[in-house]
Order: sequence, then structure tokens, then C-alpha cells
Amino acid sequence: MTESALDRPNQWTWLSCAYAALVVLGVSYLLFDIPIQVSDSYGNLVQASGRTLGGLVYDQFHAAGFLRPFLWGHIRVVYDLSGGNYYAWFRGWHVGQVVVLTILFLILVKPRTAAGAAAAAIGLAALFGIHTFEGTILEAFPINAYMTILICCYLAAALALGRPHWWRDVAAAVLFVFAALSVESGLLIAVVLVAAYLAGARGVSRWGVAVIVLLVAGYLALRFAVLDVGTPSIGERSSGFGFSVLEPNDLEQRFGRHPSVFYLYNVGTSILSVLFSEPRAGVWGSTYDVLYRDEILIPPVTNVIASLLGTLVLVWYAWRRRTDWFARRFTRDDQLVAIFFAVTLANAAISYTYTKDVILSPAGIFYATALTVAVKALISTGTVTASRVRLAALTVFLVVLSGAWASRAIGIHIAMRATGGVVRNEWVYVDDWIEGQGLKPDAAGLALKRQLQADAISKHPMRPVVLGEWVQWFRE
Amino acid sequence: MSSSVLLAAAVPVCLVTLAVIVFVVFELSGRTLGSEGPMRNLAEAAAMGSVSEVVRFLQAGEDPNTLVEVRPFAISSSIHRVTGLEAAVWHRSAQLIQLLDRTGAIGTGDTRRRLTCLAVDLRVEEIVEYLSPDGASWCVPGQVVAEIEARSRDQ
Repeated sequence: MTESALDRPNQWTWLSCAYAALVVLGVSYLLFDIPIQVSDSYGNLVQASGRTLGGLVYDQFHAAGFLRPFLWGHIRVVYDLSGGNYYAWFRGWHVGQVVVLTILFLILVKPRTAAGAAAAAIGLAALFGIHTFEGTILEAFPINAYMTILICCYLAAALALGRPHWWRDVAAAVLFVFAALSVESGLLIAVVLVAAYLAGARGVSRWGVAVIVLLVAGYLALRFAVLDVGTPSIGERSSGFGFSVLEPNDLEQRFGRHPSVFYLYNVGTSILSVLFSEPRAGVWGSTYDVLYRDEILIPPVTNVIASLLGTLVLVWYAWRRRTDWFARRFTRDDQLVAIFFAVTLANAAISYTYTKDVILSPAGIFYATALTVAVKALISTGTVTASRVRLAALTVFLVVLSGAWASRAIGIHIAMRATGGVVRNEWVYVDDWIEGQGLKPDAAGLALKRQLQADAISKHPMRPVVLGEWVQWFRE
Repeated sequence: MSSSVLLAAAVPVCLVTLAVIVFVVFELSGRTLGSEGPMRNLAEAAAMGSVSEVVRFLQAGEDPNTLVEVRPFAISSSIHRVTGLEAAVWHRSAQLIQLLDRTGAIGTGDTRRRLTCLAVDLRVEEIVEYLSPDGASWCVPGQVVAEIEARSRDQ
């Protein structure tokens, strides 16, 4: 096939689209069943509904510690669009985001061959099954800001990897501003665009990238010099370290004088987490289980095996392409891998004060795209000249790799069903929660509470609990 | 290209997707695979800790003091005839007991004393402390559980 023929969608593309539609159908069904949650959602809705859209966004420019005006604007817009039908709109919005993310995944990995379609199937399992994705799908505030950033990241990559056009420069700048002012991880849009450019992608021009760099400088100036928003301090939240989670006081005591040690730990463990699923949020939980517990749980081991094998394929891919990379010759697939490496490093760097799985979700989604292109290359090249022994070894390797990621994909489905039950139970005790938070909702706030509570408990009642020992094979 | 390699890559993940779709289709048609089906009464919901379902049954008018049948997965194979309140003690959640108490289902008399003794038998200190802050010296160890087991046998 010629290069232009390979660029056009073909039967493998449509097959991948049909498969992705089935994957999304399963995920969406369970996702839509999770009600709007109490913590971080009810309070946010009360706050968002209490001001005009303009007033709300303006206020958020002057919040301490965080600069997320467009996240609040986003919540308010969906709130207004819902016309009081909050469950359908907010849960539907979340489902819609998953659909868009999946479409963008397919646009990026472009399955055009049998190998590409098979690799895309593993890639989709990695996209939804990787631990960094959980927080984007099991929670909502009631808009999941991290999910919004994931879509922006994939959009940025799609802009950068496309054919050059002036509108892509404009779109990239708008996308960056929206993402950066939605949640701090939005700064990674710039990393995606710069990395893609350095790897030879010209969808966004040099001037377009230069504007993005200027916008980053402008963001930093706005945040630190003009608005003085600052960053969360070391003693603001509990955080993982070693085998346990340290409380803010302990963190102050241990690292107050030398925070750089803690920062380096967070950056290092964040990179390891993306590549190997261990540690998680700075805690070496699986390692602890292996060293000190009699009983080893299956899901964390499966997670590590899946990531270890996936990372092995990525390393193989990088090694195989090293000569071209040193000569600065990059294919589209190389560009996706380059974006993954760059985003992982940058994502880890911005996690320096505080690391947790969901913060690393941008690196996680690019892990899925990089894994897809690397597996595609492995399938394509591994079978051309392979001897029978090598073919058998490759077959076994791919079965284990695919099986491990499949297992993680089951895990996220089980987690979604369980989360639906947990959230519903939280709504039963919402009054205790309101009291504990010191909130004093007005009449409108109380009406909203009653409606969301009825949505969660009566209108969309809990579905049957999935039981059985087998559940523990996939989910702790 | 070797089809075995392609299948090795695609089959495991595709099987999982197929399994999820089968699960969804079955559930939409009214049967949830891998489950015992919906909770049949307040006691089953309480025993399983499905608090939102407990509330739904209460809203539907179910009395937590009524004896009902529960399936073996809810508590155990030897306990299958309990009240919703007893099932809640078996779930070992003081928060759930408080919730039921707020509805007026527990009161201050025999029901409270009996539930306290059940909590003593099941060694749920938190519930004992909530139901009877002054202690439960009147309880005969094992008596309430034995009665409930006998009731289940006799049925």
C-alpha cells in the first residue's frame, strides 16, 4: 500500500471504530449509572448556581491556591443547559466526554492495517484500564476537570499531527487558554504541542508554537505575579511517601526544611507510576504486599505485569527507532511516542508538590497511544522474519500482554458498578456530610439536595451487586 | 502476517469487551449476570449494606421490624429469617442502625434490648455502645443468635 492509501480509512479503520463503539457502550452504560456524587459535587453545584456565569468566573481568578475559572464556568454552563434535569445532563456530559476521548484516540492511532486494529484493541484496554484513568471516570465534581484536560490533550496532539493550516494555530491557542484556566494540568497542552513540533509534526506552525510558549509565560505571570494565586504548600494535604501516607504535620516535620527531597520523590515516583503502575500516589503498596504480607492480591500484580510488559514494548520500540531518531527522522507513530515521553516527564514535574493517580492521567492516555503504535510495530515486524520459536514466543508474549490489560479493563468496569453503590449510600447520609462540612444551604440549595438525593436513591435506584470470589481477581 | 500473532493480541481484550456487552444486554433485559438479582426486601438490603436500598424500602412502607426471608448470600446459610433491624446488626454498621433508629423503628423497649444482645453476640462494640451506652449486662451470651438460627430452622 502507498502512503496516501494508508492515510485513508479502510476496512481495518471501520472495524476498529465498530470495536471502539462496543467498548464505549459498555463503559458508558456503567458510567451513566453512577449518580452525581455528594462530596465535591453538591457543594460545587450550590456554589456554581449561586452566582452569574460572569461573576463566578471572575471570582475564581482570585481564589487562593488554584486558578480554575473555566472549570467553574463549565459547571455553570452545563447546570444552565440542564434546565433542572441534572442527572441526565451531568452524567450524560461525562459519557459524552468518554465518547469524544475515544474518537480522538482512534484519530491519533489511525488503525489502517490488521496489526494496527489489533494494537488499537489493546490500546483501548490500556486507555480505560490504566490506573491513572480511574479518577477521571469514577469521580465527577460534577464535571470531571481531569477528563476535560484529557480531551484537550488529545485534541492538541490531533491538531499538531495534522496537515498544516493557520486555523490549527488559532485552535491550539484557544485550546491552551481554555485548558490552562480549567485546571493546572492544562499546561500540558503546551508540552504536547512543543514535543510534537520538536518531533517534526507541523500541524501547528512554528509561530503557533511560539504563541503557545508566550501564553505559558503569560499564564505564569498572571498566576504568580498579577493574581498571586501561588501553589498549594507542602503541609496542605496528606501525601504518599514510602509505604504509607503522611499527614500534613508529618510532611512538614520531615520535609519542611528540605522540601526538594520530597519534590524529587514525587517527580520520580510519578514517572515510575506511569511506566510500571507502582508506586501509586507515592505509596509502594504492591511492593509492601509482596515483602510483608502473607497474602498477595491479584489485581495489583496484574497491574504491574501489564505495565511492565507494555513499557518493555515501548523500550523495544524506542531502541529499534533510535537511529532514525538521532538523525531527526520521525514518523507519525514516532511522534506519538515522543509526545508520550515528553508529557510523562512534564506531568511528573508538575506533580512535584503532590502526586496522585488522576493528576498523571494525561501521561496515562498518551501511554495508551504510545503502546498502541509500539504493539502495532511489534506485530508487524515480529512476524515478518520470525522463526517458529520466535513466533511462538511473540504469540505468548502478546497473549499475556493483552490478557493483563484485559484484566485491568474488567477492573474498571467492576469499579464503576461498585462506585454507583457507594455514591448512592453517600446520598443517604448527605445531611451528616453537610453538617460536617459546615455548609448552610439556602432554600434553593436544600431543594437541589432533595432532587439529587431522589435522583440517586429513588429515580435511578441501585442495580444488583455483582458478587463472587472472581470479582477480587480483578479489583481489590 | 501470522494470524496467530494477531489473534494473540486481539482475542483477550476482545473477549472482555464481548463479556461486558453480554452483561449489559442481560441487565437491560432484566437479569444481572454474576449477581443474585435485586434486593428482595429491607432485610437483604440492610445485611448487604445497601443503605440507599434500605431507604427505598422504607419509603415504600416496609417495616424494619417485620420478619422476612433473606437468601443465604445476605447473612449466612443458617440465617434466612430475620427482621430488617437484625440484618442491619449483621452488617455491623452503627451508622445504619442510627439511620433506622431515626425512623423510630428501634424505640427504647424490648427491640432495643434484643438488638443490643445480638450486637453483643456478634461482637459489634460500636453498635452495643450506641444502643446501650450503659452496658449490656443483662444479655445471655449467644441466646439471640441461637433464637434466630432456630427460627430459620423451624421455618
